[in-house]
Order: sequence, then C-alpha cells, then structure tokens
Amino acid sequence: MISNFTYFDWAIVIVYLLGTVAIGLYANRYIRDMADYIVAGRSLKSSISIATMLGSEIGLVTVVYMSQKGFTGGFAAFHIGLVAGVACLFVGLSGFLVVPLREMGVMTIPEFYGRRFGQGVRIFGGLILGLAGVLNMGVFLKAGAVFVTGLTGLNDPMAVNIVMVVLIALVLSYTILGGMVSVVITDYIQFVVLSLCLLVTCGIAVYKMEWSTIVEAVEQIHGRAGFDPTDNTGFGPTYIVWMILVFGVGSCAVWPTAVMRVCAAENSQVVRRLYTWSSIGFMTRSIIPQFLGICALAYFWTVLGSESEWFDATGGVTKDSDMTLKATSVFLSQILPVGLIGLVAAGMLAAFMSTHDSYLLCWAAVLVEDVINPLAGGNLSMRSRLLLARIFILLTGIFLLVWSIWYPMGQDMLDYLAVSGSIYLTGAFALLIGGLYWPRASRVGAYLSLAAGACSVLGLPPVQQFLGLSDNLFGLPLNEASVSLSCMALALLLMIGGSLIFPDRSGGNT
Amino acid sequence: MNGWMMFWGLLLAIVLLVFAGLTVVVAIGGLFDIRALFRTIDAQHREAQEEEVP
Repeated sequence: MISNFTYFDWAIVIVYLLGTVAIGLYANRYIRDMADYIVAGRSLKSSISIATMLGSEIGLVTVVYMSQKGFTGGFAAFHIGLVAGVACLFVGLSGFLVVPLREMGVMTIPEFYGRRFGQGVRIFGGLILGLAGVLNMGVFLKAGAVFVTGLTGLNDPMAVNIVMVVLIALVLSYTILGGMVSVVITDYIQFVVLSLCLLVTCGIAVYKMEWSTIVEAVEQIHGRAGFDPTDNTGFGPTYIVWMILVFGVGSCAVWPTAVMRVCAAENSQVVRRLYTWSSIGFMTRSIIPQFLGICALAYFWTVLGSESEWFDATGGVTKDSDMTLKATSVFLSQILPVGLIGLVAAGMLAAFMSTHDSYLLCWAAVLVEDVINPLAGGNLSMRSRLLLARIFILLTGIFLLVWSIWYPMGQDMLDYLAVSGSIYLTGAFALLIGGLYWPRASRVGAYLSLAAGACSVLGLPPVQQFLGLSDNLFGLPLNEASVSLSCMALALLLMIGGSLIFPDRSGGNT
Repeated sequence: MNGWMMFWGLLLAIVLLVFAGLTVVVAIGGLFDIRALFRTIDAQHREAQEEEVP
C-alpha cells in the first residue's frame, strides 16, 4: 500500500526533532548534580507534573501496543483503559502507596527497600528492577521502527533495522546530554503535540470509516468477544483481574517511571492532584490508541477484505504479531493528509524519545544508586555516579538494538510488557504493601517476595519453550495472566509467611 | 452485546471530550510551571554557591 507520506512530511519531522534536541541541549546547562539529573530538584508543580507523567506514559510505544490490542481484541480491549483510569483515580483520592512514599522522601523504590528492609534487599530489589526494566524496554525500539516504516511507507526489509539504529542514536545522545530537566520539557511538548494529533486523528478516522461500519466489522471478525471482555473466547475474567493489578494499580503506583514523578512532585498534595487528574490520561492512553487499532481493523476488512494478509483462513485476525503491530501505522498512512501525517510522525517520534529518555534515565539511576553505589559502600563520588549512569544508558541502548532484532515476541506486545513488568511489579507490590502498611513485614519476607515475583518470567512463551513447559502446569493453564497472578499470590503469601516465621530482630523501621 | 456497544461508545465519547479539555488546561498551566522550575533550580544553585563561599 502506498503511503500518503511525502518529502514535505519528512521536512516537518526533521525540523521538529532538531528543535527538540536543541531544547535538550539548552536544558543541559541546568544540570549540576545527581539531584538535578534525577528529579529536577523536586520542583515540579501540578500542570507540568501531569504533562510530564502522561508525556512519558503516552508515547509512540504506548500507541503501538495499545492499538495492536484494539486490533486483536476489538472494543473489549477498552476494559484495560477503564481499569487503569479507575485504579489511578483510586490512588489519587486515597493516596494509596504514593503519599507515604513521597512523605518518606525516597528517590526510587529500591531506596525505600533499603530504608525499610536493609541494604541487602535494596541491592537485590534494585537488580531485579533494573533487569526487568531493561527487558521490558527490549521491544520498544522495534515497535518504534515498525510504526515509522509503516507510516512512511518504507517497505524495504532492511528499513526497520536502519530506522532502529537511527532512533537509538538519537535517543541516546539526547538522554545522555540532558537528564530530568530536559525530560520534563520534552515530555511537556510531546504531551501537547501528541494529544492534539491523537484527537484530530480520531476525528478523521471516524469521519472516513463511519461508526456503524466500525461496529459491524468488529462484530463480524471478533463476535461477542469483541465487545464483552468477560467472554472467555476473548479476554476473560482472569485477564481482567491481571490488567487491574498490572496496568491498573501497578503501572500508576508501583512502576518506577511513574514513582519518579511522585518523587519529583513538590509535596504530597501535588501527588494526590497529579494522580487524580492523571487518571484521565491513564484511561486515554489506552482507549484512544485502541480505538485507532479498531478503525484499522475495520478499514482492512472493508477495503481489502477478509482474504487479505491481515486475516487468517478462518476470517479472524492474523496471529502474526509483527503484522498486527504495524496495522495502525499502515492505516494512518492511508487516511491522514499530507502535512498532518508529518506532524503525527514528528509528534510520535518526539514521544518515542521522551519515553526512552524517561526509561533509560530511570533504569540507569536504579542500577547506579541502588546496586552499584551500595555495593561500593556508598562511597562513589557524584562525578563517578553520573558517569556510571551515562555508561549504563549507553549499554542499555546497545541491548535494545540487539534484543529488538533478535527476540521472537510471539504474543501481543502489551502482554509481553505486562509479563516482563510483572517480574518487578509482583515483588515490589508485596514489599510496598508490607513495608508501608504492616509493621511486622520482615527482611526475609521481602527477599522471598522478590524471588517469587521474578518467577513471572515464566509467562514469556520463549521461556516456556526453552524450559519445555506444556500449556498446563499442575492443572492450571500456563498463560500470561495465570502465571503472573499465581506469582502475585505467592509473593504476598511469602511476605506474610516469611515475616511471621523470620521476623526482624529489631522490629519494623516505619 | 448492544449494551456493551453502547457502554464502550459512551466511554469513548467521554474520554475524547475530557482529554481535549485536559490537554488545553495542561498546555497553558505547563508553560507557567516550566518558568517556575527554572527559577527554582537557579535559586537552589545560587544558595549552594553562597554556602560554599567562606
């Protein structure tokens, strides 16, 4: 299919990206120490906190994996956004987890582990977090490159790899030079541009496709499961519960990039306001891209027919995850006019940089501040820590490139992200609840919970194949949701059991 | 199924409307916050320099 993308659109993209890099370099002059680098001196107020939080959460990668879920799941996929929004609102109104964390004044979750459970737990938890986070990021680059090639109509088989190299070079140079101050500013710009682009794109999609056609296509392809998330032939109740915990509470209150915003907020009142208002964004970041994925589904079904490459022999959506990943970008390349398509590409690419610099910065900070520095007895100078953070960012960038080219995903990207995120989230959830709200939670309980959480890696199909696991284990289905939920239950049980059997001699620290 | 379809359609409409409003509010408020952020960091640096001077 020939894309509407022209040289004029390329010019828009280049000017936009150069402008963003220039802003990053300008912001670099404000960076003098690690605190500036990490949390912008804890000076963020409400509007910019919301923009920067949503800016890093609504990125190109989010649009790609959420739209893929809309393509493969239909309207029923909206439940993910709904539970995420409700969970975020609950956290904002109640202050659950985030307010006590902010009041402790910690900079990262592992720092909390250290204060509450000791330095050993901090190092172990930091290592799991760093590794899980980098693994989680592993497919971001591929998602970005697939989107860019789909939108611009670059059909050469090598195009995806070349775009990945260009993207990672851009992101690395930008992130290493800037830090949190530049992240804050680009997140803000990206949030405003991308939000406007998404809203206009939705309007164009509905205008071109018509609502009744979209609904009919979903009904024909997915049947009842395309509307009812409780239908077991589609998502089913287990998947919904998993989403509540991972994409609901987990992603807004426990995921480190979100918690970094908590640490950067001016005070706990700003934290509450941030989460209350961000609930709209957490809902939107799922539902709008998913709707675009649904529109793409309807477009290919009506224009190309069920015999096209986007569908399998039974008339259902193709099982090829690489195909479903690029469906929305190809759809947008067909319906957006010249100029707007360039702006969407520029906004998406800026969003891509924004997401990457937030994540790279976060994982590097965790590995330096929570693993290396404590192992060195806390004696590393500020200069050494900053240098190490930049080295980790560079190494992570190289890993992303290798992993994106090599790893056979074999599942929807959202499910990959939820599983890899659960490796950290599962243990962290138990430690936060235990550490903040249960004085008897002990160091042994914390170690056991973190280890149980790491078992979530069994939810990845290549790991299951490598270990020779069948579809059922002890009578339980071995899918992503059931593995992750089982590990969560185990982590909580081990936190309780371990703490009761092996209490800390000095008692709780809170 | 019609009930679900109505529900998701209504949710989508609400999300689009509210998100449009939030974008406008945050876009304007964010500009003021960025100015305040730079001022605060500058002030922190000045204070740190003054403390270093014997």
